[in-house]
Amino acid sequence: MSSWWRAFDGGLRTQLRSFLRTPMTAFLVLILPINLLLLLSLFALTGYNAPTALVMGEDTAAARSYVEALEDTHNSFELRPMDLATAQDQLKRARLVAILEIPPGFEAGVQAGHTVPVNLTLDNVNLDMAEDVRRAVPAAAVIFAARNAFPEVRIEADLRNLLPRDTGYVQYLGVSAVALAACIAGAVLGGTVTAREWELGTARLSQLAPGGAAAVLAGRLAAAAVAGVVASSVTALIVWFGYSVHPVHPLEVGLTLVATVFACTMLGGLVGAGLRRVMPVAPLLIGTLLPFYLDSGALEPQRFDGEWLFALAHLSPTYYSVGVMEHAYHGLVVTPEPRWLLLLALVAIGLASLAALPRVARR
Amino acid sequence: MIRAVLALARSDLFRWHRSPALVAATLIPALSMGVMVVALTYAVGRQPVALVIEDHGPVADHIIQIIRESDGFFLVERTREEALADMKAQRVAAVITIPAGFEDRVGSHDAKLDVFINNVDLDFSDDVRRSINEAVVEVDAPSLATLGENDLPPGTVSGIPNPYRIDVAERDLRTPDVSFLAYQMVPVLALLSLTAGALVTALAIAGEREVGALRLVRLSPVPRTAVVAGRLLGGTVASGALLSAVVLAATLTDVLSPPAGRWPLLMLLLLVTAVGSVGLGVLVGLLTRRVTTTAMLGVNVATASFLLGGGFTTIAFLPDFVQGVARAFPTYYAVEGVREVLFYDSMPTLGRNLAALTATAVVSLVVGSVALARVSARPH
Repeated sequence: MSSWWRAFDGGLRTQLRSFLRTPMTAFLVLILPINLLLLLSLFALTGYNAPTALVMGEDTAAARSYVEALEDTHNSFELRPMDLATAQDQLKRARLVAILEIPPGFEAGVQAGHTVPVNLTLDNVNLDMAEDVRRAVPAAAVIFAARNAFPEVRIEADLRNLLPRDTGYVQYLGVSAVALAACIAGAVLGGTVTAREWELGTARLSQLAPGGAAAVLAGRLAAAAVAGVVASSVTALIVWFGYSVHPVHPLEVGLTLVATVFACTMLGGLVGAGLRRVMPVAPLLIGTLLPFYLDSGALEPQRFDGEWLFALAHLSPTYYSVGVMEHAYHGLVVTPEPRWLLLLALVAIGLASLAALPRVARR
Repeated sequence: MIRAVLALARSDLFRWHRSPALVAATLIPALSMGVMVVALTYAVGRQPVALVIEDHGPVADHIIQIIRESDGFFLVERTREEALADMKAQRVAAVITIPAGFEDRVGSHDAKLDVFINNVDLDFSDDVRRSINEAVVEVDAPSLATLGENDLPPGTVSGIPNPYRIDVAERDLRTPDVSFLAYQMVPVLALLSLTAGALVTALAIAGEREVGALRLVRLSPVPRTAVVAGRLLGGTVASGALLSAVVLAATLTDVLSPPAGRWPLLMLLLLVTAVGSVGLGVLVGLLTRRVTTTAMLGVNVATASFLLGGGFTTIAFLPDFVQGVARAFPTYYAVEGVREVLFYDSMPTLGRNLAALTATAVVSLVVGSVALARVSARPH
């Protein structure tokens, strides 16, 4: 074994041992991506189906048909039947987004061809949900009119889809969270390991190693990458088995995880070498990666947010990772670039960071 | 004793002020969440859509105008080929076509607007579906399709018959709508309070413990309680100063504008949250012992606190067990309390929220003080 490899091996082994000796830190690194996955799922869960009280002034065929139309209006309402007093109380307590009241005489009015007024009381505190409700109410009227074949309707929208099935928001976001997990685990571990070398003064000592300081640091970063792959694999498995999102291409999931962790560990190492202090590494990296996560195609194909944000997204490894990961799990194409190019970009980010590391370290 | 407390608090504040790393660790999580909120403000609700016009006439031109003015779309007008190319390149999420012969079919009541959607995920494709139906309805039922925008008095309908046989009498809880940014800035404030109070204190204590400086406190003639009080005061002042700066900036830019007479309540809620955070910071700092672990635990707790406190979500709309978990986090009470103070006429849960935050503050201060005094007294 050459002296370089001996130093690399030494750095790798001691770093892995160090992780095992600080189980609390290792556990927190493992937990962080899972934490983010679960919490981002909460965001997805409240993204649609606004909790809405349904107050029925009558239980007739027409009223039930209107309720069915509301239920089928593009995941807009989670209807909760209740009396008006309870509904008003819950609305005041911010437990509901809206109250819909179907008045007595609804069926008689509809059958007579009259336009029947339905009461909508709206808590317009959360504009996103309030606007969803305001748009969903006319959409429900369209479905109601089509199902009852009202002859006065002149225009309809003929909705056609590009893909044979919709992908649920939780499932879509869950998969992008796996990419985020790989980025954060790799970056934080790489950054912490490198910064600690300077903080403890071992960076100077490792220059005495026969293979040089670079070999020792490379070994430590390799150990960080191994731990990062383990941490993000747990998140990937939770999405697979916990969220029942079975990957269409399991090998692609593994390959993307490894490439993402590699890119982010090296990028984190670069940041750690620049900061040379452990304390700000995790807040800085997570604080930077989270906004970039939103600008990575995590919520929808990134180009839909405009060319400026689309261009900006290319600065972050999360964009490339999300692009391949959505294909690996769902078979979706969410970037204009081909997948091989996305993977190549991840590898290139890792190699470029690795190449820049000695220069930053020598400063 | 008071001089010792003030000196310790001042020393902690100086160290915080002089350490860019500590300042960064404090500010970055909250700033990052703030940036995320702004990014979401931009992203929510509107989708890029291509409009292909292959027919003209009074009704066709009317619906074209409606689609052009819709706040559900970022619209570009294209030929059919260009639109499909844009769809393939993901420049647009959907293509709306006014097909040839549309105007003629309006007369026979079977006109169809062709809508081709990239349904890669449910969230934005449903946004497109809702928005296009809203546009279609606006042709024959303008008042039904312009909820929140029409000039009708609250709770009334236009009285004009429409072919859908339904109209909606809308009554909003407040005028005007609360902006998305103002609503989502509340959890960012709570997060800032938490990171400034808890993370600063935890990192300071863990750092001193790691290098052995905490044991030097034993040599000091001042009482342990003064040491503890100084620490807590320093953290609270740091947290309060940061919060004040952010609240001032948010007020000057109209992001934060409490109703008349609600300022004292708002400040009280933020102050109690900050004090409780400092107490929690003492506990975390003593529990973790190492700066690396403290930073990781701090980031985990800050992220969980933000999202379970109501960041990007409304906790009351989530499943019961998630609501139960959220109630274990002080940010839940802080966010609910602040939102109630800022946006609601009545404040039915304010007492409970203030009580929960005060209890958190008192318990964490007492436990944190006792633990800090013990650790300071214990030989290493």
